[in-house]
Amino acid sequence: MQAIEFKVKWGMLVDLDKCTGCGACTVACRAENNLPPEADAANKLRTNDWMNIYELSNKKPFPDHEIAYLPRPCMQCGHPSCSTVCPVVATTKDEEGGIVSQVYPRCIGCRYCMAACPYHSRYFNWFDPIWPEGMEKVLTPYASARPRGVVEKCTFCHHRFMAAKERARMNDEDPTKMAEDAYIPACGEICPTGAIKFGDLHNPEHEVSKMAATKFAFRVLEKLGTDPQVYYYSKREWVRKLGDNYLKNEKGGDHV
Amino acid sequence: MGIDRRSFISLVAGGVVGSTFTPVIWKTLDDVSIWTQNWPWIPTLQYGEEQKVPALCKLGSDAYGIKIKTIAGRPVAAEGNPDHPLSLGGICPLGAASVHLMYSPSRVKNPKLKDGSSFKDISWDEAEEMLAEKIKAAGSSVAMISGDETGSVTDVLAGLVGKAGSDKSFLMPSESAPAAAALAMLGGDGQVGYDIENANYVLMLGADALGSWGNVARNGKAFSASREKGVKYIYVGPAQNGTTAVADSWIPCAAGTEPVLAMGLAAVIAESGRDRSFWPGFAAFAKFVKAAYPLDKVAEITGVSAETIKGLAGELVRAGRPLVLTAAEAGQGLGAFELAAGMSLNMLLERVNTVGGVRILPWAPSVVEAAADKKTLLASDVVAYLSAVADGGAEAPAVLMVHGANPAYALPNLTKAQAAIDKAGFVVSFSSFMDETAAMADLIMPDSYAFERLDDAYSPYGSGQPNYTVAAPVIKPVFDTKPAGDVILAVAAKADLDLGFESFEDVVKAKAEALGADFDEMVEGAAWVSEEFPAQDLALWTTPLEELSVAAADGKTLALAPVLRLKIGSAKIAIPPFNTNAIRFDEMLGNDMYVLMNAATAKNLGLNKDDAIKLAGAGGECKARLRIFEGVMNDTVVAPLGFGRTAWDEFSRGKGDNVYKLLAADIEAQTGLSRFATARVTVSKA
Amino acid sequence: MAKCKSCVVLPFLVGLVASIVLGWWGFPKVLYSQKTQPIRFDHVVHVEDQAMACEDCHAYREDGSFAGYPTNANCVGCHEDVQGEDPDEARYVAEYVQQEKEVEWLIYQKQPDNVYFSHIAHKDFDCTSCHPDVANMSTPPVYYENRLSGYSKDTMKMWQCERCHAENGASNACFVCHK
Repeated sequence: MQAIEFKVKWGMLVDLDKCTGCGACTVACRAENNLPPEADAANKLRTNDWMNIYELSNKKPFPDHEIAYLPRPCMQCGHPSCSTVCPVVATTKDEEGGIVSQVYPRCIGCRYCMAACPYHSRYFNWFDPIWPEGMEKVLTPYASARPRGVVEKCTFCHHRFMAAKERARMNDEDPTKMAEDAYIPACGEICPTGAIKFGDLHNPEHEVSKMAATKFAFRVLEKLGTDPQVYYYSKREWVRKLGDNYLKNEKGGDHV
Repeated sequence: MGIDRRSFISLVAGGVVGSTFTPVIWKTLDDVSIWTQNWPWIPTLQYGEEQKVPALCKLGSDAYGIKIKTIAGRPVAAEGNPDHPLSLGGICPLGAASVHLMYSPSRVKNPKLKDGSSFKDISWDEAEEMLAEKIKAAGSSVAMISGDETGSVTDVLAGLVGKAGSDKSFLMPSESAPAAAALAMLGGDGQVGYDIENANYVLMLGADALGSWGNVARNGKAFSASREKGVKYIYVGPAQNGTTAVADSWIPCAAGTEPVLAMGLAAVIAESGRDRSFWPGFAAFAKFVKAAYPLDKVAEITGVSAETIKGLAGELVRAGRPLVLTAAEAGQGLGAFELAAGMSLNMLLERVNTVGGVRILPWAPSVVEAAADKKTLLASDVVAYLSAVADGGAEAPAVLMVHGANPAYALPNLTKAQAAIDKAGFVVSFSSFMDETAAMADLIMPDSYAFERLDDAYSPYGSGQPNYTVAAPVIKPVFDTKPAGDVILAVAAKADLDLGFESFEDVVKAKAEALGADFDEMVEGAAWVSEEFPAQDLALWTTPLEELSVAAADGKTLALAPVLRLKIGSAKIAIPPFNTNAIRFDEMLGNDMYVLMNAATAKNLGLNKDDAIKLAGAGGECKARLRIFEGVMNDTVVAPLGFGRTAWDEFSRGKGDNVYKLLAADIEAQTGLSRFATARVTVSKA
Repeated sequence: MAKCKSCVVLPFLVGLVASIVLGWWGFPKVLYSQKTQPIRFDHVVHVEDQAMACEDCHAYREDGSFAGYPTNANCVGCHEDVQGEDPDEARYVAEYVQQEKEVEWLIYQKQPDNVYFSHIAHKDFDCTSCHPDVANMSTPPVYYENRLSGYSKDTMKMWQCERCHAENGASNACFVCHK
């Protein structure tokens, strides 16, 4: 499939040398996007985790063991595996900025996209959302409440992109040329160590572009050709090498 | 003419053909499909004007300004406050969950009176009258436990107790108590703080600065800003955690023995380099550390090699502005002498009472006359008191009031604490939530939640400068609750104990005035910050130090390293409804919590991954599952605090087990403070 | 009865016409229930007599979002107390202003939760391109509610947005309008 080239390419860069795995991003994302509360979140095949944190390990025994934490939103792939398989076009990558859309009323819940996504970024609403009495009063107006039977995923807080454009228009600015800090997803905004950076990958002035161009930046499962718009950054080689599955004899292999 | 079959069919056919020229079929299909998507139990969104309102989050041990996004006045999400010095835009996982906690199913919605084994609803008037009567009848046999170290409600509650003629006012265990006592051992007087932003070498001895220690959001921002400047962050502790994931290195050190390492470092540094003999107290100090903490002994106790100790000492000396943070990983459990070890090391490095070092903040002004001041409160140990009450060594209070604290869950010597609460004549909880203490209480007078009341906080522990934050309510109480500050003042008045204030707002205004802060500006969101630090006359060995007692390794038990992970709650709050998903698959197995040990340790015990195991300590037992994690020292088991809730709601109840049960405290003779950071446990198959 | 062609054609035509009439006239009558606004808001009084402009109540907020239906905060500037003789105004003051309760206005063109519409992106169009001109109505229009779907009859459908976007060169990407 030919990927459309957009003028703006919203990208995220997570500095794994600053991520402490605290989980504030996971919680803030749920609050911002009206994810349903889950009393039993132990079965990870049934939970809904737009922003999910993985613990990485260099797999060496004590005392040489090292850890890192990797927050994983939707990669908003340049060549998405998900939108190409959707039978009803409930998900596409057709908007300026490159955020892969997910339209809930159109989704028929076949979960083909979930099977296709190599990052497990997509989640299915196995259950209707149950809000404890009164808690529905803290729903934000930013994302619709999804019924059971539809798939959902991180949208880079797309509503904040829309809100940033409204603010730009209100101030008589060009909504296609916004300042670097005009639009940032909830996770990036609240991260206590500032590990999550966000901006336009096509704008060389933006921090994400600058950091993504360094040799310390990498993407997860790049070899699959998904062209993700989420970069990770670490000065530790073992962390970078975990980004993809290397064969032992491959350059980059033998890190474990 | 009659209508025969042919005409009828023709009529119907005409009807059908005609209907295809009308919208009926298409519209009905369209509307029915929409109907299938709009089930009434799926909530609809409410729109309105969006605003960001300043608020104060005290759900953990920190107290920092955040911002609440409101839509048409309803809070919907919490985020950091870029203008607040302790947030700088960041928020911790508890703060991020704070809005949804307002509607947690465990919220107590109105005053409740114990009725057999459950509660019955009563009115506020009845509750206030009842408590006032009980207090009048109790005379001076009243006591209070508060978990709010920074707020004026504690002043009011302590005032009530003081006015009644009692000295039984306590704070929950924290880092502040041993830190203040340790500072006094150096001749200092004030609240201990740390200027992390301006240090260039931060040695965290057990202080999980980026995870749960001190001002977590602020520490994160300081850490982040320092990366470009090449500042080193070294974490010393028994296990790897979020802080070690980003720090420059991890030095494995046996649980609770980090202060011993501080002494070892002090011994090396005291020997070397410049002439400090003219420093008051230095000679005695140097003699002590050299004799009591030679390198090989420190290496044996801590597990840190002599070479590493020497290397660290060298780095500390060479760094221009080193700063040593001493703490227990669990945020509580060290005694004063342990903190004094770390404080003395900072003194030796000349980093006390200076930029980039330990800062000594003035105590908060006392505005409620009869209230015990903060220094007195910190010097009184609640664990010692409750244990004495349970054992019969101290008289059980006729009235015990608990505010912002959960002593029936979050204390070492837990069975004694629970027994003491049981023994107390009349237990009143002001908790907003049905926590374990409220479940045991005779009367619950629910405090309004954080965003429903006026709240204040003075310099939470760790603050590098004196600061004061006041937050106005964001929303009117959503249930029949009242702010505890006002309730306590009303009850005091009814009990003929005049505290000198009509309303809680007057107390906060008085405090602001005493500090020279502008109440109205602060209510708009501007925190008060000061650069004034009281003059100090510090000297090493003002109080002679003593050898720290450490529970010895015995080949049968493992060292217990309890850890605090804010995402699953704190000493005050259980797992918030939105945080269940933040618990990773390697942290819980079904409803069991994982405890961590490395493969070598597991092998010695004959245990395998995912085994159901039992940890048994002096205080009690816990059930868990085993996770093999190489980021733990040998013969050590890491166990998370915050699980094993028996009250609260379905989000936290029945998950994991309460590790506080394993903690047995001994009382530090010289200060009366409880110590429980070097617990040992036996681990076996369940 | 003898076979007669008109006995087939006539019923067919009758059925045809009847179903067309029922479909175009009867069906909407059955499908839509009629509702009235809780308060009979009189635009004429405000626009003509009080010489208010549209933007006095229907304005953009600072962040660029559009305050469609004003809240009590807007109205109490004048209606803290009863201003005129209209019984509906008196009811508004008594039941809403004094009880600090917002009026639950029926929103004629309310979009479902999964739709995102930005007024400011369309500010170059006249209000009447999409909305009826209520400025000269003394009584708010009748609110027709679809009994099946629950939405207002006047809620615009997706094809209306798409067509105008296509005609004006605006993007028809899904996320431009959905959330």
